[in-house]
Amino acid sequence: MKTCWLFLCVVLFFLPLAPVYAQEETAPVTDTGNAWILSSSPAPNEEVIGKKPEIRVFFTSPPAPGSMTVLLDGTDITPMITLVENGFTYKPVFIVAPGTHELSVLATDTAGNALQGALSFKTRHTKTLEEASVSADMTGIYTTTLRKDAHDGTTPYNAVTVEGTVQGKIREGANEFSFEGSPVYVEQDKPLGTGSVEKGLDLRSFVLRGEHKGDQLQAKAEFGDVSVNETPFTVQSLLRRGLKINLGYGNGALSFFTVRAPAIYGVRNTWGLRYEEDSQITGGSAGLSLPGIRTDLKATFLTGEDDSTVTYGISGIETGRRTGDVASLRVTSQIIPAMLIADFEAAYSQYDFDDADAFDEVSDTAWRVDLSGAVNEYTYDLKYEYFGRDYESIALQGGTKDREGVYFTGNAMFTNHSLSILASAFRDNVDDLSIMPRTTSIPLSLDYNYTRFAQVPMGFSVQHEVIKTKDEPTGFDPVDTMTDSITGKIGYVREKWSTGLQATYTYMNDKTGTDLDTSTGNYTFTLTLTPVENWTISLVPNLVQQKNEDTDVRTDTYTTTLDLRSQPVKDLIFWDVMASHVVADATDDSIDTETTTVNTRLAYSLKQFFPPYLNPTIALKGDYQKTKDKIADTETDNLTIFLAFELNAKFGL
Amino acid sequence: MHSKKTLLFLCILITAFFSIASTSYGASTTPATVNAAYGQSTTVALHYTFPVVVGAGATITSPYGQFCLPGTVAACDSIGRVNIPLTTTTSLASEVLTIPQAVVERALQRGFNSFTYERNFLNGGLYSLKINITPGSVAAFSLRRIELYFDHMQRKNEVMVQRNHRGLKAYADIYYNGSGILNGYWEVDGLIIERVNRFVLTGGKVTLSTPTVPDLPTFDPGYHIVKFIVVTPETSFEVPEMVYWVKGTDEPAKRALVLTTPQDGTNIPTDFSFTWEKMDKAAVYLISFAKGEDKTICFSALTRDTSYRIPSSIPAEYFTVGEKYFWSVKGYDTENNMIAESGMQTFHFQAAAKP
Repeated sequence: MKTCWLFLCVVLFFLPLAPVYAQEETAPVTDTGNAWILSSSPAPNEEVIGKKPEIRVFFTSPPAPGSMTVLLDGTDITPMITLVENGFTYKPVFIVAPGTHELSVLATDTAGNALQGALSFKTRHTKTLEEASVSADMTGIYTTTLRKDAHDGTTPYNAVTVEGTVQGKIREGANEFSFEGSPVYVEQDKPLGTGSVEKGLDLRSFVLRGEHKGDQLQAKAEFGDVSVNETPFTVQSLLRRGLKINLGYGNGALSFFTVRAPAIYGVRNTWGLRYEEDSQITGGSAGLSLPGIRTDLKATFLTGEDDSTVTYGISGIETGRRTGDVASLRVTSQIIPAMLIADFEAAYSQYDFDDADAFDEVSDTAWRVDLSGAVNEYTYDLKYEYFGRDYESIALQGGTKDREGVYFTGNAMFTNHSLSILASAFRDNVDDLSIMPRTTSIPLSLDYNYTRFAQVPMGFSVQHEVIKTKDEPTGFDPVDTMTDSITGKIGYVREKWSTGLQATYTYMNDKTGTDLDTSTGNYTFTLTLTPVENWTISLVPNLVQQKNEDTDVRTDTYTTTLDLRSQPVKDLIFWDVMASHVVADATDDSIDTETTTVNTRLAYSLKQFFPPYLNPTIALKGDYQKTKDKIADTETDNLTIFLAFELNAKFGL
Repeated sequence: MHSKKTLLFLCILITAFFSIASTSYGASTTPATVNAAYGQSTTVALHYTFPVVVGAGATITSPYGQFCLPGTVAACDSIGRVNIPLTTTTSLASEVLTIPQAVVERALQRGFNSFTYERNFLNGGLYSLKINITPGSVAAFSLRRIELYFDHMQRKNEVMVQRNHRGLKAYADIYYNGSGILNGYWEVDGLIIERVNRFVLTGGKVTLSTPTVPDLPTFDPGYHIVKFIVVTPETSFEVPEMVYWVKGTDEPAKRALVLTTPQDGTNIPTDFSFTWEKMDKAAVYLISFAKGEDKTICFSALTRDTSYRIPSSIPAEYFTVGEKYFWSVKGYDTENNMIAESGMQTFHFQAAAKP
């Protein structure tokens, strides 16, 4: 695999890139019927090698001054052309996409007669490939510690980190190949504090992609960090290391994927190429589109095993090796296009939450009917869902199970108002087991925004939920709670400053004999100032209050964050600060803490001394943290100062 | 065989002793009862109170806890064991207990809808927690899984941005049993950027995001570690973290470009001049005209000037008199980075005056 990677890089690096500009000489225009255009470069239907080919057009007779309009692919480029005797030249501002282009010229002659000409030409990036590009954007940082108070064993005295992106793409006709990768190098004289980064050279993430876009056949193969999406009951937005293949022919579609169950960081431990028996999810789908009746059918199957507990970015409670299979059939139909869309899915799962224990896998079903659409300013979604008690997809662990209910969401968007409503009612214990209670939940919410005054956005939201059990078995304490939450928000936006206030109050009423009522309040004020260009200051004080109505104990937490981004000398000196101050205090004196954290950076850009593709900076950075616990009578005070040299390099072909 | 019987007898004797001892001490566990979800594991924070400390500074210790089926008094009919010792020298001890899915399943398969969790404390007595098996919606409020990601659409768990990139957000999908007050905070490199304290409904899943103000700090090139630290309910697993990387180049500051004429929503003649304020460092402007509800671009132009007049030969082909059009302008620097962008404004072309 390493050899393949190296080979690919070498091939792309030595691609024969032709000169950027079009031919120097102009060809006579003979086959377009545009008698007014004498000659042009590119010539009509000529294929030009280059990303920004210069265009030259000469006329048989000069147009009247100021009468000429030149359009390239429908964009008026007249203000950008350079007039020459009996013609004009144009050097494209942006890269011209490979393919066919249309240039049209409109003018009048001095007598007021209309003149018109048009020509079509093609562009390609290299002689061998219609499109070829490779680019890299890398940043290296050397950091040395000037002072550190905390001897935590992880803050290094010297550290080097390099990271960036390398990407490339080649295309010829309907076939395309591309790659993206994020190489990373870390070295320092202390252990790394996080499990996600390892010392040495690594490739944090990568993807290799091959694609064919034919008239009938579309094919796409991806290897690396791929995203798997099939249906809501099987797998959705699963970003994992593995292989994914999609094929489409006419109205049919096939997909296949095999990915690692845990999220993987880097390639040093594995490229993800090998099939891992204990932690692999494999599946596929077949789809058929029936345009005559505006209906799509899709059948999906996947099987997998997962023995991970903590992976990169994910933590969970379940341990042991989970195994499972899921099969699903989905039918989507545009009954009235855009206004009424029906979506039906039925699924069957087999799942074993620990294949080492004495219990075999369990199986169950899930199904849903969803009607949605949009009519003028209104959108709606009405859904019935049923999840069996043991329904679980190995690719959607932690998902819903043992529930059936109805959900409605509605949105209305008017010129000065917007409103959204969520109303649902669902119950659990779908198998009516007598040894367990049945719970009915009715959550309702409403969100309203008034946008009549752009400078004063405002709105409120209300949430109400009732949870109640019935058919409680002996010894089970009933649950009967009602929770209400209200949020109000208002802002004031000006050119150089803006402010906002948001307040939320929640009361949970425990209507059972235990009467464990709880209330919380959350109040946030936001102030953002932009006094001058390149200076932004944000100050956000927040108060969170939580009260146990039974014991009357209240805990207050004050959090204030400060965010300063500034350039005391524009494009030369940068000063940035991010700070937070947290005070937590309980009325029963169980908590009384204070924490202050400040991260700051003062940097000087050395760009002026280097070529444009290099961007070096020297920076002084400081991290300060002070914690004080009045109950435990402890106090810590740590300051760390770093000197850093940062270098960014970019190149592209 | 003989030794096994002796061992069993000793265990029963010790259990009975501690049972009696606990009664005499008046021991308590908070909470006394919890609901464990069927079909998934549940985590609960347990607090033990020892009313009588045997001797000043005596060590109260329990080598393990076990899940027991009801019905037996003298000995535990064990369906699971927690091999985590608990030791204290004060009158309080706490643990975060995970009630595994398999234990709940074992109890159900034996025909029980409740069981107990018991711990014998040397010098402390026997402590028992009653566990009722319930559907997930009324189980004790506990977290099952946390997934962090950056991109809301693609759910990327690593991202790379330019220095001073604005608007970077992290998201956390939190899966839970029951409902209750979720208390925690977003932390970046040890710095709290937002405290979260909200009631979560019985949906089983909630998605949180870092605030818009302040957004994730991107002023310092290098690695930054994002975590969502959960304060309550207590979790038995370590919270996940993810990394974003800030490049050593500044993101071109995208500033607001101010459109001058025509006024928003006005009727204008076809030869009207569209103008906007000059933007520092802008080498070229792209003016775009769009129409329809989906605001499809129907015509555009490139210019180095701060005004643009649609050529007289264009309107008939691309525009219709009386129809509503949108227009906007973007500014690009010499390296073709977009450095300024205007909002969209509307206009209508009026019919040419008849001679």
